[in-house]
Amino acid sequence: MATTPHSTGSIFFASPVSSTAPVIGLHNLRKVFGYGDTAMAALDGVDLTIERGEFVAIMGPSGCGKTTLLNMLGLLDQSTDGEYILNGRNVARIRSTRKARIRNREIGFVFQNFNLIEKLNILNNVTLPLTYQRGLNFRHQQKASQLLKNFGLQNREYYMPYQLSGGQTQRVAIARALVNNPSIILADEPTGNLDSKNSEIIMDELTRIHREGNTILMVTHNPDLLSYASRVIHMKDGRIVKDIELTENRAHSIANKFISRRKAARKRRGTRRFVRGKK
Amino acid sequence: MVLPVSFSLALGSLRAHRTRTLLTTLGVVIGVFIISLILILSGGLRASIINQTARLNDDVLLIRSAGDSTTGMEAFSPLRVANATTLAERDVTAISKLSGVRDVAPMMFLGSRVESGQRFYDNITTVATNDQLPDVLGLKMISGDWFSDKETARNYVILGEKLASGLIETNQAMGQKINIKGKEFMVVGVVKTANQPISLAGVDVDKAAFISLADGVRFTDNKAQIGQIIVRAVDKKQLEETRKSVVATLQRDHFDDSEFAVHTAHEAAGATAGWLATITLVALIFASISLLVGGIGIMNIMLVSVTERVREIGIRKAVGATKRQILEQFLLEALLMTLGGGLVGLLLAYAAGYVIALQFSLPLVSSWWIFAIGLGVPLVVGLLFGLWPAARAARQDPIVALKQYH
Ligand SMILES: Nc1ncnc2c1ncn2[C@@H]1O[C@H](COP(=O)(O)OP(=O)(O)OP(=O)(O)O)[C@@H](O)[C@H]1O
Ligand SMILES: [Mg+2]
Repeated sequence: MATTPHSTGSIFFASPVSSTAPVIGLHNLRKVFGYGDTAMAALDGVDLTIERGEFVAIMGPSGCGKTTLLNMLGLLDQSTDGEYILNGRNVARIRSTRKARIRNREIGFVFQNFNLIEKLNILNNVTLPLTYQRGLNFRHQQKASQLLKNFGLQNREYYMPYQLSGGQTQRVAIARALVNNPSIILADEPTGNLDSKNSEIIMDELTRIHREGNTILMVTHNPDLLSYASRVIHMKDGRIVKDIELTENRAHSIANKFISRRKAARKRRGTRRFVRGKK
Repeated sequence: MVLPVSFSLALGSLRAHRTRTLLTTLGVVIGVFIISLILILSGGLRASIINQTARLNDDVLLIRSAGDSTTGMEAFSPLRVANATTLAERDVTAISKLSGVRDVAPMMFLGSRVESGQRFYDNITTVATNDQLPDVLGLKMISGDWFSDKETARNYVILGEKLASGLIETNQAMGQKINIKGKEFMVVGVVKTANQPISLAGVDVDKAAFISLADGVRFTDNKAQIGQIIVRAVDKKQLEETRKSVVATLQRDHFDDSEFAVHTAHEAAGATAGWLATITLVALIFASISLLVGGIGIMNIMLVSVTERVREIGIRKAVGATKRQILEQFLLEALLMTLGGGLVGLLLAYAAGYVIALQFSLPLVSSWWIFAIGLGVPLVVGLLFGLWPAARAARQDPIVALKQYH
């Protein structure tokens, strides 16, 4: 797959302090929504350390706080309590302009609900993060265009978001997250709307980016995708309940266990409606 | 570089709401149109006053009945002059004998009805004067000649070009009989249009009728009521000395100093120009209020726009737009509206100014500072009224904006 190579120079790793520190360190992170009687902890004391170059899959039932966690990690939201150390720096002490810079240069965020700008066409949506960087607009568009081509959307560049199918919209959202060569990718169910072939295209792209030394956190409900991950985290009620390192083999075996369990369930229900996964 | 991007974004969002943008901008268009037009016209008026009164007549003294000369407006109102006359024929004779004086032209103003056959005008200023007026005012004849002082009291009249063409055909005017205040006069000449709507004469030469003083006094019981006397000096370098001797002569013959005032043409022009400046200022203040209203309209629409686009702002911030970049985009949108409106208003003002200047034979002045004001004021208005909505957009919290339902 031909994409422009990822940059090696990052605004994080310029300082010697941060080069050895983990990319992400969370200490007793809490996020409480609401006040008083209605107060509810979406994150209830999360401790997590992620080294550079990990590929982490996050799993857990709906409402367990996965999206909330990604929002914290992506500097979109502030925690109620606890510490978030990003590349050796306490996020609470980073100013908003610098946070914007980090979001713009270092983080690629794939939203669960895509969040494209309805008024902009597909090409401009994908180019959006680059428009807040230096450089010529047509070069930015070339890059966005190349990514769209990789995802099989070359002839949808001038479509508006409402003219796309769910899966196409999802691929556009992923292209936008990758266009700035981020060193941290936060993906909230990036293949939730995709068939196996398109999932594979997306996962191959993520794998390629992972191999270049970048860090990926991906929320998924699909056990098949665990084969791409190096670590899987299970969440429940705002806490991490299981944290498993996956070796190559282990990854496959866990994935297979899930798949066989699901196949059995499907057989019991007598339907093939949800057939998905690798052939 | 983010600016060109913000620019195209701002332009795009304005285009997306075309009707709204046009209606909102209209306020600024009207405000700038009025302001620029006032500046253009007052500039033209000023230029014509200064040129014709001051520069072309730097060897001229004006003697006017006092009390009328404090403000330019009254100084140039013939009727006012006619009502407060204290100057007499003997003043003309006395001044004409002074050594520094070349020409002396008395002007007695008679507001009256002028008719010819079926056609008539009610408010024509008839000027009773002598044969030195054409020299003093630099009048040229289209046809005929100015009456000489030797042939006074013969009911000859000379018409301004516009009056002549209104009453009779210009080229057939010579020898025709017209009626002034019930007396019959014969047209012996037509004065060429001089490009001077308000001039030294205190009357629009184009629309005036000129008769001899001897004929004029017959309307006023044989007593000349001279409104003003125009004196041309032999040497313009000696104008001050000439003025002193004129004043001395008048003081000798009049009991009260305050009965008359002697001005150079420059002073007379200055008084009028000063009056014009006051009128212009008042008009500008009113026009500024319309621009203020236009500015508030833009602020209102920008606030609506920010509210409508909360989600878009959230997405932009999520992918790394800084506060400043968001501010820039929304401010630019407001600025594009005010500057675009300013440009359109300016162009319309020039178009209207051109038509009006043509109609009233004013020079069309166009100086850089009218452009500077026509575009600078909308710039300030855009910054002033665009800043708050833009700041509100910039302050938006990304996660709150993203979660907002729409
Ligand atoms: N702004 C908010 N105000 C109040 N409660 C919130 C808010 N955002 C999220 N929550 C709550 O926090 C909990 C975690 O939400 P979150 O979106 O992180 O779940 P999730 O794990 O991503 O679920 P899913 O798999 O369905 O996407 C939910 O119970 C949700 O109701
Ligand atoms: Mg979620």
